[in-house]
Amino acid sequence: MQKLQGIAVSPGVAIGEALVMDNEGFRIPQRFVARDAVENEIERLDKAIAAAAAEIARNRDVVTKELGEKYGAIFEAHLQMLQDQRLRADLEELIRDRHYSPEYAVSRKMRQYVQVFQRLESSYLAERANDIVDIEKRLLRHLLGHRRENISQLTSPVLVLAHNLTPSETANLDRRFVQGFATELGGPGSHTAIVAEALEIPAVVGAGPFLAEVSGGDTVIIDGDRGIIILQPDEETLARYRHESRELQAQAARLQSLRDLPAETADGARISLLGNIEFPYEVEHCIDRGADGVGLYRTEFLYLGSDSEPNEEHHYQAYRQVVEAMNGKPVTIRTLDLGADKIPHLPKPEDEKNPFLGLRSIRLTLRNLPLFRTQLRAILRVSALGNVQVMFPLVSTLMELRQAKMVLADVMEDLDENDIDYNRSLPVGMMVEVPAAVMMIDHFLEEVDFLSIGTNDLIQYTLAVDRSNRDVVGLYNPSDPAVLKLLSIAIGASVRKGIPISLCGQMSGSITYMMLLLGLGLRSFSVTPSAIPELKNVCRRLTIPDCEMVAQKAMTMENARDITAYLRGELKKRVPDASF
Amino acid sequence: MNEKADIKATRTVTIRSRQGLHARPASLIARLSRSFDAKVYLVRDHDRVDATDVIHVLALGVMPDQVLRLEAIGAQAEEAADAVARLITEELPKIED
Repeated sequence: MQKLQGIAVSPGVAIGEALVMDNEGFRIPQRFVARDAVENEIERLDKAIAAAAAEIARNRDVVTKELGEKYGAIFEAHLQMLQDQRLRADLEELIRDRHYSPEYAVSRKMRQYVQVFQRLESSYLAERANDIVDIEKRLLRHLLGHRRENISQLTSPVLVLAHNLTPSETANLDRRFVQGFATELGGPGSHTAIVAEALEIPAVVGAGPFLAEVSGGDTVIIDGDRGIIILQPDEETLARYRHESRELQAQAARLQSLRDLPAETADGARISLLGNIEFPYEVEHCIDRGADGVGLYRTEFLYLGSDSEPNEEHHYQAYRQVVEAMNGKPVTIRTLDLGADKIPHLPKPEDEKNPFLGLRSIRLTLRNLPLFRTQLRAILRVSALGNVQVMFPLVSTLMELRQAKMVLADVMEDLDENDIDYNRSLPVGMMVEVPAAVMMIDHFLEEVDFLSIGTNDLIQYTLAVDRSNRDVVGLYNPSDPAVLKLLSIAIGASVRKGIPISLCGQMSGSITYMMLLLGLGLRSFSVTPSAIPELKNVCRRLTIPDCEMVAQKAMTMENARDITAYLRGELKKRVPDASF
Repeated sequence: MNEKADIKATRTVTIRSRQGLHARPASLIARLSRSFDAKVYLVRDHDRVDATDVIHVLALGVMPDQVLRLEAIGAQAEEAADAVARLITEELPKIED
């Protein structure tokens, strides 16, 4: 049994069979083969070596002819390496004596060589490790043949273990069978995290290297509540997790019974519980949980899923699906919120040393007006179909907000000229996620119809912490008094001015902060849809004056740890069955 | 290949290639070694590898100016040892990386 600690990004527990993808998206297959299959497997290995050798020889000849012998020589070297008899003998031994599958034997053996090479003194020779990796890939490709691509054709439930899932990889996964994710890289905002949340399956990211320790078919546990991955669990651990998993299901069923009850406090204050979504199909998750609307519709998936820029129709159809399904309830669409470095069809920025402080979000769209206008046109068109709001991310100066509104007004004129219908009083809002925006909140409030606090970025920028960096992630804490002070300023100013404000970061989905946020005056929470029942359950047992008292006390405290402990303690007194 | 211990030849060579025994020199040595009725080994300290096993030759991590011992065993041991020694000391240094 091996236990790994990563970052919990999507709650729940999954127990099941591993599907292992290596860092190039290869599926690493079964570790062992049956005893009586050994001869066949060795034959399969020899065929793969022969096929790989023939392929390399062809490459060598083509490259030599076109570029000269010097360039062909590297393929000649690969060919010689592949024909290394000791390698062949070692692989055969692993298959014959240890019953490794040829794929697993190749992976293991080549990885050993890579390590040997990387330890060599000469950096020039150490780089030959890349040649070994190249040969490994080639051999695996021939061994796996068509089986390599069949990640989209799963037939049984699996937990996907990968180095780092890319949007194109997750796009190809058969969602019906994927029950959990665990990755070596990635942080809370990573693509894996967003997709897992959307699929409502447990996920742990950033666990560090572990793929070498596991192979396809192994039993694995992904604990998305604690951020733990367990490889080859022992019987006792399995039994414990199976029990826990049943409990969670029972609890979810209990909470589901709250679906049609209003979200209001015990003293009758109406609370708005909205869903955060990324993909159109998630609107169903919102409806299932009785959400009051979509508080954050992220639109990044439109830009990441394909190699070409989405056109107006792509946007429109994706928005329409959600707006129509919500049937008159509000849908807040956020314009593109990505860094230039992440968008495949835009030129890579040259000087992007700090992407989070660089060309991203509203800054990026204001510099790429055709792309921005396309999205705004689609949002305006869909505003004719329901209750739509538009929201700009990462606004840090009044000028940016004004520029964005000018572009919007300009697109409106275009639509007028073409007699295209839209909602003329489309509510326009912005995310509050940069400390500068909080400092200037009174000015912003004069020019917006609503605000939404994005705590994930606000915390990161306030505390200067990258939460995907394992060394400093401990400093990232929503309870930090500096963060609470900013929240208090933003919420207080909005309430006084009578401008609706909601909170859409992960903080709002955690019941720990519910008393505090209600006490500060927040009445609208936008959360991952699966968190709605629990929040509703909690808020129905609280009263506003009580929350205000708790918030006041929390605001006098000096450190994050004390504040978290205090908030949980107070909540536990009022909601004894609350679990954190 | 005849590996009877009847004929055995040894040579001592110094590596002069600018980057040591990297992929291209190693593959040339392997190819040449295969062409004789003899087994050729490269020996450094306690490591002894078959000259045709390129990955293992590379894994020796032989740097420029290091000294290797060549051992050839088999009917054409002398010829093989001479040819490989000549390749290492005369031809390989001419290869531009």
